[in-house]
Order: sequence, then structure tokens, then C-alpha cells
Amino acid sequence: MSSSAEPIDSSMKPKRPSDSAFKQQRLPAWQPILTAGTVLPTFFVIGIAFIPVGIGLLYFSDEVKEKVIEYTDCHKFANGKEGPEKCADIIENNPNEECECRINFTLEHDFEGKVFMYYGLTNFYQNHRRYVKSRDDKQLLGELKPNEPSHDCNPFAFTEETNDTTKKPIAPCGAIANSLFSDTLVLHSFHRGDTVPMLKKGIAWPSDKEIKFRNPPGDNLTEVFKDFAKPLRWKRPVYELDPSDPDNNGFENEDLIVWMRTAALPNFRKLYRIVNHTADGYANGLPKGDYCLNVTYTYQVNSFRGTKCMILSTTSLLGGKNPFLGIAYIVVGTICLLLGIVFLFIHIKCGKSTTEMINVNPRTPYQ
Amino acid sequence: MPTVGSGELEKSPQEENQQCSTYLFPSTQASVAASSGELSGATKVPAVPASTVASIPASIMKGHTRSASHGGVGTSVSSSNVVGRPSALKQNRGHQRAFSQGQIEDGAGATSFQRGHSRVGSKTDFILPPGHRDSENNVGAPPSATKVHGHSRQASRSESIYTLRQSGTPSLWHQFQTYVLRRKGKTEVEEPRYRTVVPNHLVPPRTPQKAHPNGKRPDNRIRTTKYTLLSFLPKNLLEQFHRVANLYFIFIVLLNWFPAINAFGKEIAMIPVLFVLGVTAIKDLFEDRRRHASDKRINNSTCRVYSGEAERYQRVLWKDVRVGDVVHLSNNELVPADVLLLRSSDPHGLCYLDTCNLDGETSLKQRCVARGFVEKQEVFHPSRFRSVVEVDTPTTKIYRFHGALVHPAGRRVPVGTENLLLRECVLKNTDFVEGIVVYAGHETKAMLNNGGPRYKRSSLERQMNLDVIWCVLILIVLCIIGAVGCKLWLSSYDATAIFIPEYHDPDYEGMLSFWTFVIILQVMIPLSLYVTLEMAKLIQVYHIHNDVDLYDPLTNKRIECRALNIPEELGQVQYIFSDKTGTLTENKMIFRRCSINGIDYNHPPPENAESLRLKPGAPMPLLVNPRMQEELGQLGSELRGHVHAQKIQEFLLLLAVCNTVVVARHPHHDMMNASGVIESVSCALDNQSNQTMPPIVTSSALSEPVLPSQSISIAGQGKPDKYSRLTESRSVTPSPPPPLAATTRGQLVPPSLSPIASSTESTPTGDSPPPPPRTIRPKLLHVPSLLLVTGSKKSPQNPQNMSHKSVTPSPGELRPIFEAESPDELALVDASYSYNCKLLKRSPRSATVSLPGEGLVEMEILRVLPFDSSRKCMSVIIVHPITKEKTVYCKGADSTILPQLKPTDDFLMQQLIFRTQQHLNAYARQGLRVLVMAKRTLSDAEYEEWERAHSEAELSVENRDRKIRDSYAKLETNLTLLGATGIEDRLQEGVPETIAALISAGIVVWVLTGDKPETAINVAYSCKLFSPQMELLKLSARSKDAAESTILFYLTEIQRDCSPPDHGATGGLAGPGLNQVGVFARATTLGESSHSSHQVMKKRALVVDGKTLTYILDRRSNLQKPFLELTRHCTSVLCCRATPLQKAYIVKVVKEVLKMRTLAIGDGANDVSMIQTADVGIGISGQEGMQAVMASDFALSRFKYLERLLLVHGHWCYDRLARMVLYFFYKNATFVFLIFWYQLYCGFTGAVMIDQMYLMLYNLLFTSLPPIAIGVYDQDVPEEILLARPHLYRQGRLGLVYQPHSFWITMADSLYQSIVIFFISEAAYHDTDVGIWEFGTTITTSCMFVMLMQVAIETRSWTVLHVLSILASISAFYVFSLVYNTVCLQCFGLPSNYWVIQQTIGSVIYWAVVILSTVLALLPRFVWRALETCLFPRDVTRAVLEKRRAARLDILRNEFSSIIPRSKEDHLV
Repeated sequence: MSSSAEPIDSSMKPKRPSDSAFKQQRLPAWQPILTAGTVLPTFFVIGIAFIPVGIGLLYFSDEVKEKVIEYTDCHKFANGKEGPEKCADIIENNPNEECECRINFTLEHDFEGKVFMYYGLTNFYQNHRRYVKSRDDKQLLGELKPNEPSHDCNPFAFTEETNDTTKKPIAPCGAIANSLFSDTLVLHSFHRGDTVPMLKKGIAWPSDKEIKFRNPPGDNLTEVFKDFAKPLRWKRPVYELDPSDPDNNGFENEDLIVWMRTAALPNFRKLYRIVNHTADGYANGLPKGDYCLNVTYTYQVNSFRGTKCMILSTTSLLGGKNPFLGIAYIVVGTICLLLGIVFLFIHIKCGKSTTEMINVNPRTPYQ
Repeated sequence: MPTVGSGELEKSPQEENQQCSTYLFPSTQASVAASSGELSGATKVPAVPASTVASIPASIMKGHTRSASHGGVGTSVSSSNVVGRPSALKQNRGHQRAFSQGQIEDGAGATSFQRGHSRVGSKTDFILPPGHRDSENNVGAPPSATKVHGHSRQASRSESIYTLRQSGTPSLWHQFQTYVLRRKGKTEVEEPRYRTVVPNHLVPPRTPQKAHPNGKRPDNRIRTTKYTLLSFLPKNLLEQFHRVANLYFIFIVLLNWFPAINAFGKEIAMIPVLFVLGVTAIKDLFEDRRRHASDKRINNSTCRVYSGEAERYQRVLWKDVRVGDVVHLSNNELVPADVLLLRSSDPHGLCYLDTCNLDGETSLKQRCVARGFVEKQEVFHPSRFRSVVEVDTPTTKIYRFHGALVHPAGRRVPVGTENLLLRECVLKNTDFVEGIVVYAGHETKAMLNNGGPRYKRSSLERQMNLDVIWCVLILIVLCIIGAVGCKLWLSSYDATAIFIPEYHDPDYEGMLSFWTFVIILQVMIPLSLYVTLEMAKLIQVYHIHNDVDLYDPLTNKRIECRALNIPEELGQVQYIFSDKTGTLTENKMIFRRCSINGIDYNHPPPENAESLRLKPGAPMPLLVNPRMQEELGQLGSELRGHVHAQKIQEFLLLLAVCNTVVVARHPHHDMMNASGVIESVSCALDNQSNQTMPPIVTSSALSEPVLPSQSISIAGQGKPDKYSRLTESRSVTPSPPPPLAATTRGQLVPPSLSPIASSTESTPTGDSPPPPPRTIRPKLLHVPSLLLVTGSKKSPQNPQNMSHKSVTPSPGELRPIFEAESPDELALVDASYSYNCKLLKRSPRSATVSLPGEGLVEMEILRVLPFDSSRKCMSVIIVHPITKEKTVYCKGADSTILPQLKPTDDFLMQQLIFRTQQHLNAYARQGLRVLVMAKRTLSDAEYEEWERAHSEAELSVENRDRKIRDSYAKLETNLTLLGATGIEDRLQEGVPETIAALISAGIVVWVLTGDKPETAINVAYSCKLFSPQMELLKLSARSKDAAESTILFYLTEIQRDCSPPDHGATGGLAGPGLNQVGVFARATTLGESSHSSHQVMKKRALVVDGKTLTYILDRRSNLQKPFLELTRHCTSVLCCRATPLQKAYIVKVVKEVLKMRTLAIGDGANDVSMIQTADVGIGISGQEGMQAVMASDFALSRFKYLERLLLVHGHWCYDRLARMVLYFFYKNATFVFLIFWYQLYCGFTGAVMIDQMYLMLYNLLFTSLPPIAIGVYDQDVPEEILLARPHLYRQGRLGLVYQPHSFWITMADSLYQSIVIFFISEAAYHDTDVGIWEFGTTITTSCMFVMLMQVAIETRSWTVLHVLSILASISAFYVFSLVYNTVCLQCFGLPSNYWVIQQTIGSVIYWAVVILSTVLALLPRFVWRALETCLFPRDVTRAVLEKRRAARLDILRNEFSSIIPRSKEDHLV
């Protein structure tokens, strides 16, 4: 690296490299060697740590109560009785028709603690590459610019131009918003003879609700969104998503926010409501008994062979019910313990023989 | 002392040869006969002479065709030589430049006409292997005058001699690049063949450049930098896009711009590529800056240019020198531009050039002033020079230059190469010269030949590239699976599926998604690996460069790492090819022993030699042998010892006279100082300066460089001139001898036919006699001190003799400066000087010697019979001034001289000869070069008769060379023995130990030397390359058939030895034949297995000579494979008399045929081609100029540092980089697999769950430091163990860390780990409300932890840096993601990830998943590592464990011994 053609006079200064530990690669070092003896403790420690953790996780998972009601193929409920047609078929023939289902079910146990109501979709690829991208975060931040929804939103950025309407930008644009889950799920308690009180708010992440999704400035949302069209599939414009609560409209509608957080896997659930535990009779959760799920069936899943379901679930440390982690921890812990024992055996058996082998090594003379 | 083999000494070499062939190879007789037929055939064809150079009419040979530099003794044009080159002659392939290094061309008859020196064939001329065509050589064409002038070499450096020529047109890309990148000036097509150079002082001052006649010519400023400020960016980018990997990534970035395909944010996708390009650009920038600095230094050196205005020379910066300037140069000054010589201080208009910087030749080249100016020397003044010069357009051909001086009168005088001083050469042995610049700056031949560095790729990198190709294949497979999956998935849906924004035809979509997959899985091709690898190597090289153990305090030199990209290759060397002289040995000859009158005088090296190492070239101080001193002191006395003393004196006289040494007293001096002012006599005109010179200078055209000791004293006497320091020069390279008597050509190297050689030579019986026991060399092999140790020192051998008379010159006395062709002669003259037999002055016709008894004696030298390699001796005929007695003093190889001794019946004389022979044998066994001295007294009649016969021989037309040689031989008979000398070529410090360590590291060491076999074998023994237990196989065949049968004979012998008895029969039956070759070739692939079997077998060493190599290396002979197979059975190989190109070919053959990684180490220009050919080239920055260093990848100051460089740094670098590379594959593959698994869940749409920022920064930020920590700072074994156990080098030598299957194991591991990471996450988040980004974040974190823990498992030695790198990576991830997820609401058009990480890390499931994945993913590797150490540990692990156990045992023992009383401990032990 040093230039060799240096003039003679400058070569007089010594070029001796400095003797620092770093430059000489002599930093103090610890050289662990993974022998049977040294890895033994690791295995035992992992084994001993994992099994209890696994048991704990399993316990927590078991604590969670969950009720799944699939209603994809529910039959139309009209005039007090269940009709022969499936809601799905009705919707398929006429997307605008409303169809109602009622499904009775029984909770065998009390659901203690907070009870969450989810809707679950299967085979719904919310993680489709183009689908995931098909949104305009800027728009959702409340920066409405009439002519420029993001290109990502295509083909759900503008309404089609027809004879009587002009091309209008869509708000919220994109495929995600367009495919907003639109069924209405209402729970009836036969026991109390009343609808179970549900909270519509608090289901979205606070950060989303407060920062990521903002309504455009302006007091009157109707006014603000007047130049924008509603997404094609929507029945109501964005400012009328929740007629019951004016604060839950526009981009700040929590159902929309929850939907907009695209799911990772094609079978997913999304939080729909939280049982209002301040209401009478639900303070300790959802008591066992007979319930009826009233569904306003508008969302079509047949086209992609999906299913829909309603899930009632309590929560635990781990969230929902999922025994996998607990089992996995126990299994891995056990494997580690077994390996530990194997290595103990090897250590006792071969530890000595390694030494012998080393001593008779023919190459040792080069010392 | 044993006397083995002394009998053989008397045989002439021919006899020996004959005998061997009859005895051993009956079949070769025919070939001998055949070859003698060839010989006559060759002589019948005058058009194809043995050497065109020799046949050129001597009258026009005024150039310098010197060959023969130090050390070599040619085989010359003896009959054997002619036979030796039949292929070249018969095939007419155009290689008549067939003389190897140091060969002396036999052109003696012509010498009397020659103006200069007729030593033909430069050192770098050599036997070109057939098939290697020298296009410049017209075989049959009569040599035109211009061609013969100057050097016989015509090829330019770039395409020449030092490099194995690569034929074939450059690639299209290269041509394109050349077209684009080159400066415009080179592409201009139309330029007149001749350009005119007008002296600038004729042009009126301040002429605008356009009007200036030389205005179009570039100035002397040079720029070797690749870039300028403006061109840096475009040019650097263009160059970087040259790399396929970069192109690939650019392609991906572009792909990302297609909306249908795009997977990533357009800007984000560019981050990695920009980063890589940026880092590389910065690296290039720094390198370029270094070049810029050196350019600046060169451009700002000064020289003296005649100024027409000031009417005198003025100091001018090099960059301001322009074409047409008249420059003035002093001795030892660098030539600033290509200068046409107009005037020299020498009355004959000669000057000498050292072209070492240009072509690496250490010999001096003679140049003369343009024709017509020789006579005007005295009156020349620049202002009177009004002629115009016409010159060629510049070419790269160093030795081709045509032009003409056009005088004002219109007369044209042609000028040629012999008038041209080339830039970067050094003026030597001339006081000053003046000349006109004809080419400047980039048009000088030096610059035109300035080729860039070659790019070497290490085998690790080659292997890596192969695996990268596998990666590409894996990537393509994944992409195809993805595309097919996409199509299948999509075709199961129709346009109504609500989550498909735009429904395309599934086939179309599948095709598009293929490209999408290419984008999202691009990490599979580890772009970051290239950058990291380069950075790691850079830091590695930095540490090697800074290794204090590789620093040589004596020369104040560190190791110099010139190649930055092959440090790991150092750890994988399988073959080492070493030069001998200057590399293993110091190339300093030391007079060690002499035998006079049957008495052996030892000259042990001074004891303090170690501490007083000298600058190269300094005279060897000699410890005078007190006994000899005393005996010499009896001279003149009437004592009994008088006769003996006379003999000693005569012996010394012979040493002083019988040589080609040149004596100088004064350094060259130029009257003009650095600023162009004449300094001496007030108004001394230039043309008078010659007279003011010391007479010694004007009296001869000799070279008189100055020894450092003297130059210091002169410089110290008060000339603060900058040129005074330039007077220091190479003492061993004189300019050619005087042009007077025909005779002083040649060099002399004492040939020593050692008994070792003669006893085992050519005895391929397989059970050759055991080599004679070797006496142990003196321990102190190092260079003696500067101080002359006076004889008062007690010699261990004759302690009874005390000399009190100090006869060595006092330190104050000025010692004359001796210059000799070979250091041997120097050593001899120096030795005689030490005994007060001082050679004081020497001219071609006389020598002045100061003898102890007689004072100054001037002896007339009648003739010098130069050395040639067939006679192996040289002689001088001198006339004693008083007695007028004519004496032939002859010195030469024992094999030559001893048979020529006068037959005698005198018992005493016989006794003397016998004793001397015994001494010679002893000397040879000590590895000394031996010479025998003899004399013959001639009567006047005898002399005249011989003289007459000789003149006839010189005038004869046919066979003149032979006749002259015979005539010489006629004179060198009936000799009387005077004595013998033993000269030591010292081994460098630590050489035997280093070689022993390298051999035990399993590296095959070959020594390739231009030296002759005897010397080389001696050195091989003393440097432990050969051990006395080894069986010595010699290959010195004189024909192809002989070579073939010898090789096959040896092979069958070995086969018989190797194979167990039951197989022996078949081996024996198979007989030598070509079908055998196939068997051997297969055997070679067995590799290490056959290697290990050697250890049980008899050890063999192979000695090959250059001529045999010619046959072997000839591809048509099909001898390469058998030869290489033979070498595989030999622990070490020694190639003697190898030419530079042969050296390179050997390296190439081993590299390409055996597929071995080679390292070549050498110090001289003759090693350059070898160094460049080898995978690793190492230059010893020793005494022989910088050529080897310039060509090398690493430059060491001593051979011994090689051990540490290879065993420690090489081992480390290989181990580190190998693990780092594998880690990178693992890291990227895991990541890619993770993304791929996700496609199963997203319908193969190419969605990526990991945020793109993570994706891009993953390699750059989150996982980049730990691999660098491993790649640079990890040490699998501490250096002490590596040095103590060289066999650990095996790991790198056999490439055990990174084997072909390692990649697949890594891939399997990463596949497993990715499955664990992904599916644990998937299962944990199954049926939950997890969002895509939370999922991705969890997976990224798991993946990162797994990667970092993997590093932890792979780390062998933990230092702060390792810990820090891991901690830094983890914190980088968290800090970045926290900041990014907080700040970035809407960045780069990416889907917003606001608050994701905060949300995620708050959940238990995240941590549970991360911990579980980490443990489960790493479990197999961890278990594997532990099992590996327990059950089948690697060498390195074993060594460390053992060391640790030993240390523990020591502690235990110490504690034990402290407890138990001493007596008991003894009992225990």
C-alpha cells in the first residue's frame, strides 16, 4: 500500500508500524470451543427454561374462550322464519339487495373479562401484492387533492366517466377501501332478550385512529367530500359510514381503519366490536346462554370461495386462543433436554477419547 | 573430511555425460548420435544460425548486446548447446534468441572489430518455448543496420519478455472501452508518419502555443490517474457497470420501474445499488488520489533545460519540459523525457543508461550521440544547435526509434535507438549529457508502456462466483415456481374476486410475476457480499501491512501489499516457486576459504555480522586469516617459509588480476549544479569542462560508479548539490568493458562441480548411493560488517598463530572502487586486497597491482581469455614488468582445471593436488562455490606460436567460434595448480527455518534458478530444501527422447517402490510408454491421498536443468504430464538454468495442468514473468531493482517473512473470508426463502410482508457488521499455534473451510432455518388479526436474531469488536425501526408502517416467537458444531484444545509442584 517509489530522503523516517493491540490483531479474545462439555449447560438451561414457559403459554391459551360462528351459507331470514335461499346466492344475483340472517348459538361457558367480537374471513387475500399497495395513505391523512389520488389506487382511483357523470376521484381510493367488509353483525341475547351492547370505537389502534387516519379539514364532512365519489362497492359515502355516531365517520371510521390494516395471511379475523362491559349484565364478560347472531348479509365471498364467520373471544397474554406456541415451547424444551442428556453421555464417553486421539496425533511433532 | 566423489572430479563433463548415457540409457545413444547429426545439419544452414546475433557482421555490432549478468554461467554454444535447441532450429519457429541468462555468446573472433562489448543476448533473453512466436523476429532476413544497433530485443514491454504473451484480439467490450475511455489523442487516425521537432531556443520567446512549431506536442506532465474531477462520476460509473453483478442490479432497478411488475418503491429499490456504487466509487477515488500524489511528485521533480533567453541552463520542473527543449543531465539522474542524445562528457560520445525502471534489466545500455556530433563534442553548445529533428510518431516499442537530424544546410543524418535516452532510465557512468527532447509526457515510451495492474482473482472468489451462479439458478427456479404458482392461483379465481384489483390473463400475469419475483428475491444474489468482501479484504490488507512482525527494521520496510484483493489466496498456496539468488540467498559473495599450496585457510564470518548488516553492494569485509597473514609476512625473508609465501602471493596476484574487474577512484561529477549554473572554474565554458575533469574520467570510457562508502565521503566533503546523493549507485554493474582489446568480455562464476552432484548425477536406478554426508554449514550466514576486522583476531583454527602486523587498510585509507560483472569476482579481488595485494588500476592492456613485497607493479595484459561455459574457466596472459615473463593465470571450475594440470611425477605435487581436491570437496559440501586457480608460464616462442594460431582462428570463416574456443583450450593446458577458493553465497537469515516450516505446512516448494545445478544443489541442501536422506533424481537430458525415457524410467522405479509387492509385478511389466501417462494422469487426481503415502515412502528430490525443461515444457512432447507426475513423487524440485520465461511456464503448467494454487517469489527482473503468472506473486524488495516488486502482489523485504505471511495471515484471511462468504450465502438465502414461503400465503402475487426499508437495509445495516467482524478479526487459532504447527495450514491449502459441498450444506441450513422462522410465526399468528406489517416485523426480527446468533456460533474468538458488532446490529435495527415507524407517516411512497414496531414489540407473542425461532433455528448447527468438536475435531480445533490442555496441565503441575516436595515431583516425573 505504501508507495514504493518514495524518495530516498523521506525513507529515513522509520516506517515501523505501531504496536497497538488493534493493529496487531492482538485484542484480548475469548475463544470458546463448542465441546460437549461446554454446550451441556446451554441445553439444560434452555430445556429447563422452555418447558415451564411452554406450560405457561399453553395455560394462557386454554384460558381463552372462543366461539366461532360461520355464517357464509346462512339462509335468508325474512318474515320471522328462515327462507330456503342462501343469502350468498341472493347477493350474487343482486348485489344491492339486503339479506338478513339469524343464527342461534349457545355459549356453554361464561366468557369472562373483555369479550371481543371479530369477523373472520378465509381465503381472502388481503396480502395480494397489488391489493396491499392499492391505497393512498396521503389521502387517508386527510390531504385531499381532487385530481391526484395516488397511482397505487388504480383502478380504484377515479370513477368511470359516463354520459351523465364526470370523472371523479374516489375517496378513500384503492382496492382495500373498495373491498371494505360491509356485513353488519349484531348479537342478541335470548337470556336478556336484548341486543348485546357493543362498542364501535376502540377497535382500531390508537395510533392509527389519532395520526394515520385523519379526516380532511372542515367541519362538514359532506361538504369536504363533495367532489369525491364513494368507492364503487360502497353503498354509503365515506361520511356516512356510521350514521349513529358522527365522530366515527369519514376516514376516522374505525371499521374502515381496521380494514385498512391489511391482514398478513389469507385466513384472518378482524376486530369488529367490543362488548360494552359497562352495560348491565355484561360487567364480567359475556354470560353463558343462548344468543342469536343477526347478520345483515351484504358482503359477497362466494366469488373467491371464502367463508365468513363471527368470532367471540376473550383475550389473554397471548391475544387469542392459540396453543401452538405453548406446545412448541414444550417440545423444543424437551428436545434440548434430551440433547443435553445425549451430550452428557458423549462428554463422559468421548471426552476422554478425544484426549487420547489428540495425544496420538501423528502430526504433533511439529511443535 | 570425507572424500566421496573426488575421483569423479577428474572426468570431463563430456565423459561423464557419455558414461551416464551408456550406463543408464542404452536407448539414448541413438538420440545422441541423432543430435550430433542435427548439429552438423545446423551448421550447414548458415541462414539459420545458432544465433543471428552472433552471425551478424561484427562491424555493425556496435550496440550493446550484453547478456550475462551476475551469477549465471552459460551453457553456451558448445555442441551440447546446439543439440540442446533442435526444436528451435528445426522448426524454424523463430526463436533464435535462445540464450539463457548469463550465457556468453561466442563471438570472440569478431571482437577485435567491435566497438563495445560483445556480450550478446541480454539477461532477459531466454529460450522461448516452441509455439511462442516472437513476431518481431525475422529469421531469415538479413539484419538491417538499424535493427542491429542497440538491443536485440524488439518487443515492447507490454507485450513482451516478461509476460506470457496473450494472443488474440481484445474483446469487443474491451475495444469499446478503449474507444470510449482513451484519451482522444490516441484515437486520432491521421497523423503524418514523421513529426518535426524544432529546438525551442530557435523559436522566439513568448510565441503563442498555436504558432509554436512544437505546440501540438503534449508537455511532459503526466497523469496516470484514471479520473479527473469532471470525468470521475461518469467514468467511474461506466467502469463499475462493467461488473456483471452491478449490471444485474441496475437491471433490477430498471425492472422495478415497470408498473406492472414493480414490487418495490422505485426509489427504495435503488438504495442498495447506490450504496454499492458509492462505496466502490469512494474506494476508487482514494486509489486515484494516491496515483495523483505520485504523479504530482514526479511532475514536480526538476531537471535542467536550456533557456534560449537566459542563454544558459535553468532548473525547470519536469512537467514544464517541452518537446524541443535541450536538457542537461548528470550522472545518476533520471531522464525526464525521451531525449535524443547530442552531447556526452565522454570523448567518444558515449553514455550509459540503466533501463532497470523500464524493462528491469540491470545491465547498462550504451548510448551514443547522434552521428556527426561525436567530433563536435568539445564545441557543442545548445545555442549553436540549429538543426531540426524528424522523428517517428510515438510507438510503444521501446527499442524502436527512427528519426533524422536535419541540419540547416539540408543534410540529413539518421538517428536511431542508440541515440535515444528513454524517460525513467537513469544515466550512469557518464559525467553529463545533453540532448533534445523528442517525446514528452504521455508520448514517451515509458508512459506508453505503462500498463495498468492486472486483476487477479483468488480461487476463493472463483469458487464463490461459481456458487453465485448456483444462487442464480436457485433464484430462477424460485421465480419459475412463483410464476407458475401465480398462474395457477390466479386461474382459480375470476375477475370478481374482490381482492384482485386488476384481473389479467393468468398466463400473462404469471409471466409478469416472474419478473416481480426476480425483483423481490434479488437478495439471493449477494450484492452486498461483493462490497463486504472487498471491504473485508481491504481491512485485512491494512492489518497485514501494519504487522509489526513483518517489518524489517534493517531496511526500514514494511510488507507492501500491492494487490488488495487476494489476501485469502495466501492461505491457500499449494506450490511455492522461489527464485534462488537474492531470494533465498543474499546475493552477496563472501570469500570464505582458500586452499593454497595444500593448506586450507578459513575465513570465518565476523561474529558481529548480525548487527551490522550492510547496504547492498558494499564490499564484503573480510576477517583476515592470521596464519595466512603471517605466512605471507615471511615473504622476502630468507626463511623456510619464503617459497610458501611466494605461492600465496602468486595466488593473490591471480585473484587480483585474473578477472574483468574495473577499478575506479572517483565518482562522476558534473560541473553544473542543479540550477544549471556552472560551478567550478569561474568562466569555464562548457566545451572546456572536459579538460577540467579528473584525468581518470577522460582517459577511458569506462564506467566508474562509486561505492557508497566513498560516495558518502565525497558527498560529505561539501557539495550540497542534489546530484551528489545520486552518486550512490550499484557497484556490481559496471558499464561494458573498454572497447580496446577484444577480450575482457564475460563474467566469471566459479563453477563448482560438487561431489554431491557427481555421485548421484544421472543415476536413475532408484537405489542410488546415499548422498554424502553434509558437513554443517557455519552457523553465522549473515552479511559481515562494514568494519574491516583486522587480523589480530584469533582464528579458531590456528590458535597458535598470532598476527600482530595489521596489513588491512586503515579505515581512513581510500579503497578503490571495484566493479565486477559478478559478485564472485568482487569477492576475490576484495579478498586479495585484504591481504594487501591491491589491484589499483586496470586498463584493458595493463593492471597496476600493489604487492606487499614489491610495491606498485604494472603488468601488461596481453590477452584476456574470457569465460565461457564450455571451458568453464577464464584466463589472462600477463607479462611481468621486470622479468618479462609471460604467465597464463587461469581460474575456473575444478572439473576443467584439474584435468588440465601438468602431469607430474613429483610426489609432493601429487600430494598437493590430492589435498587441494580434498579441500574442494569439503568446500563444495559446505555449499561454497569453488574455483580452482592455476597458472602456466609461457615462453616467448610458445606465446607467439599460440598467438599466430589464434589469429588464424579468429580470421577463419567457418566454425570460428569453435576454433577460437579450441585455441583457448590449447593455451589452458599444462597448468600448475596454485590453489582453490570457496566463496559463499550467503543464505538469507531464516531461510532454512522458513522453508522447513513451509514444507511441513504441506506446501510444495520448488526452487527455480538460473544458476547452474551444482551451485543450486548446494544451496538447496543448505536451505533445507533437500535433506541428506533424500534420494536425488536428476533430469538432465540432451534430447527429447532422453528426457522422456529418463522421466519414465524414474516413474517406473517409483511405481515399483510405491506399489506393494503383489502389485509390483504389473507395475514393472507396464514398462515406460505413453500409455503409462494415462495412469499417472489419473493418479494425479487422487490428490492428497497420494500425498500422504509419500510420508511412508522414500523422500525424493528432483533436479531438472533448463535444457530438459525445454523439452518438457514443449507441449508437443507430451512430457508435461509424466514430468508433473514425477514431481508429485518428489518432496522438492529444483530447476536449474531456468530462463525467466521457463520459470513462468513452469508456474503456468503447474497452475493449469495440476490445477494448483501457486505462489512465486523472486527479487529480480528475471522473476517478473513468474511472479505475474502465479496466483500470488511476491517480490523481495532487495537489491535487484524494483521490477519484481512492481510486478508483485505483495512485497516483502526478506524471505523469512513469507512464513508468517502464509501461515498466519494467509491462514486467517482464508478462514475468515471463507466463513464470511458462506455466511453471506446463508444470510441472503434464508431471507429469500422467508419471502418465498410467504408466497404460499399470498397467492404467489409477489407480495412481501417485510417492509421495504427493512428489506433494503437488512443487508446494509442490520446484518453487515458481524460478518465483517468475522471476516476481518476472527481468529480460529491464535498465531502462536499457527506458527508452532505449520501443518494447520492444510486447512487453507486444501480449502477445507469452503468446499464445494459447503455451499449446499449452507443452503440446506438456511432452508431449514427459514422454514423454522417463517412457520413458527405463521403458526403463532394463525387465525389472528395480525396485520401484514406486524407479521413482517416479527419475521424480520426473528430472522435478524437468528442471523446474529449464527454469527455468535461461528465466531471462534470473541473480541470487543465482535460483541460490539452484534450489539450495534441489534440496536441499529431497533433504533432504526422505532424511528422509522414513528417519523415516517408517509415516506418514499411506501405503505405506511406507522407505529407498527411499537405495537408489535409490546406483545408477548412477538417475543415468544422470536425466542422460539432463534433457538429452534440454530439448534442443528449448534449441535453439529458441538458434535464436530467432540467426535471428529478439525485440526485447528484440536490444536487449540491441545494447547489449552497443555496449559492447564502446566498450571496443574505448577500447583502440584508447589505442594509436593521436590524429590517427590522428580519421582512423579
